[in-house]
Amino acid sequence: MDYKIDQGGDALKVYISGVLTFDDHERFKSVVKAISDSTSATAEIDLTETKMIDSAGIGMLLLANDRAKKAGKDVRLTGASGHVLKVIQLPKVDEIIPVAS
Amino acid sequence: MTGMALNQSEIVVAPAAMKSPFAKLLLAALGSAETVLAETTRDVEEQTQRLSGLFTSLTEKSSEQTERLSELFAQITTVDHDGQSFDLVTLPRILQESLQEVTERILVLSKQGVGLIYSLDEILGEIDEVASCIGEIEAINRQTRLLSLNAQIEAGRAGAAGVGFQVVSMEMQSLSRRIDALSEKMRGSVGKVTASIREVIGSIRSEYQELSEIGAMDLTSQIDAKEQLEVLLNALVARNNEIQKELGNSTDASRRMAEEIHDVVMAMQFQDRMKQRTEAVIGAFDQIVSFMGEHDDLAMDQDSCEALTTAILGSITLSDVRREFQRSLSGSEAEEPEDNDDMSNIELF
Repeated sequence: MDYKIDQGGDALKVYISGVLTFDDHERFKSVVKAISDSTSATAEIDLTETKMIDSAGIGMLLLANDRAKKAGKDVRLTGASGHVLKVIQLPKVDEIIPVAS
Repeated sequence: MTGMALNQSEIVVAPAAMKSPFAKLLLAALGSAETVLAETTRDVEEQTQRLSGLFTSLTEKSSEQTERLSELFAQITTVDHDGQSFDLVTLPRILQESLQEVTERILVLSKQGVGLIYSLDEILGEIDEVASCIGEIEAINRQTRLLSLNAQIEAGRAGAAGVGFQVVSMEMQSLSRRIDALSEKMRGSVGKVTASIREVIGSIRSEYQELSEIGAMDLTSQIDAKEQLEVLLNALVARNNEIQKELGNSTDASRRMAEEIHDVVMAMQFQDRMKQRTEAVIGAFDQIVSFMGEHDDLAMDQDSCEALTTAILGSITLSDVRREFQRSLSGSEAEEPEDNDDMSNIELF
């Protein structure tokens, strides 16, 4: 997994590319921290360039959402398609974290 | 059946010796005609009743067939297990719900696993901080010990005046050794806690590794299963709808068949009407035969023949038959009294 964080606009934008699996949990910790520490009320996780995501990856997104909620922030997912979108929709993650097209 | 009973024995024929050849011929012909008509009427009645019975039986069998089809459909669309009946259409839905529940639990465990690792990492950071503090305490303690040694040396130089100071420096050394022992103990505890936490993190990682190896982490199989279940569910629903539609068609066809058979049975009431007409004809023949048998001498008498005509017409209740006889016998159209040959007077099956 690679990621890029952009604090330019109203929302904090996190671009995740490649595959997001359990092996990425240490790197993803920085994403979780960036969202929690952000001054923006909203964080947008862009999954356009994410090729594959496993259950641990979904678990990390849910964890990021939990920590953001504790810090009074909202998270939304964007750009998911194909396998990634199906993995998000299967356990109805989209009912917990809003998914924008 | 209403109407006159047909009975050959009622026909009374006068002795042949008293009749003219033509009268004998006419009597014989009328007698045969009566017999043939009566037998034909009986045959038609029997066959009509038989046909009516067959048609009724056909209607009942058709209804039974539709009911059996409905029962068969109910049986093939359900599965009984452990005293409970499950609709086949609901089974894929139950499986889908189970699949989703399992997937959701995997995700909860994944989230908790990663969350636990993050928390343990944070604890490890704090423990590192504690270890660093222990190191600092040890460094301070070393300096304290040196200071104590220096104090002892200086106290020795001072002679008797430094005796008290030497006691204090000895106590300081003793405290320093106790601090060393405590630091050592704390370092040991921190080491054990750190090792335990790293072990927990290691086992979580190894469990994730195992889950990955058996494919539990990759949700592709669950997605495939969900899609296949959806296809199966749609196919089952479509098949059920198709069967329901066909059953509906079958029921409609049975109903239509029953209606048509009822119409056929109603149409066969013609037999009853035919029987009544035949009986009217036989009755007229009967009166003529009786007249000729009993009053052969009055055959040329106009009044007697008119009386016979009146008697014959009076005995005929069916208007169309009476009309026909009146036209033939008296050469005039019959007056229409109350018509009593409508369908309500015909005995139905």
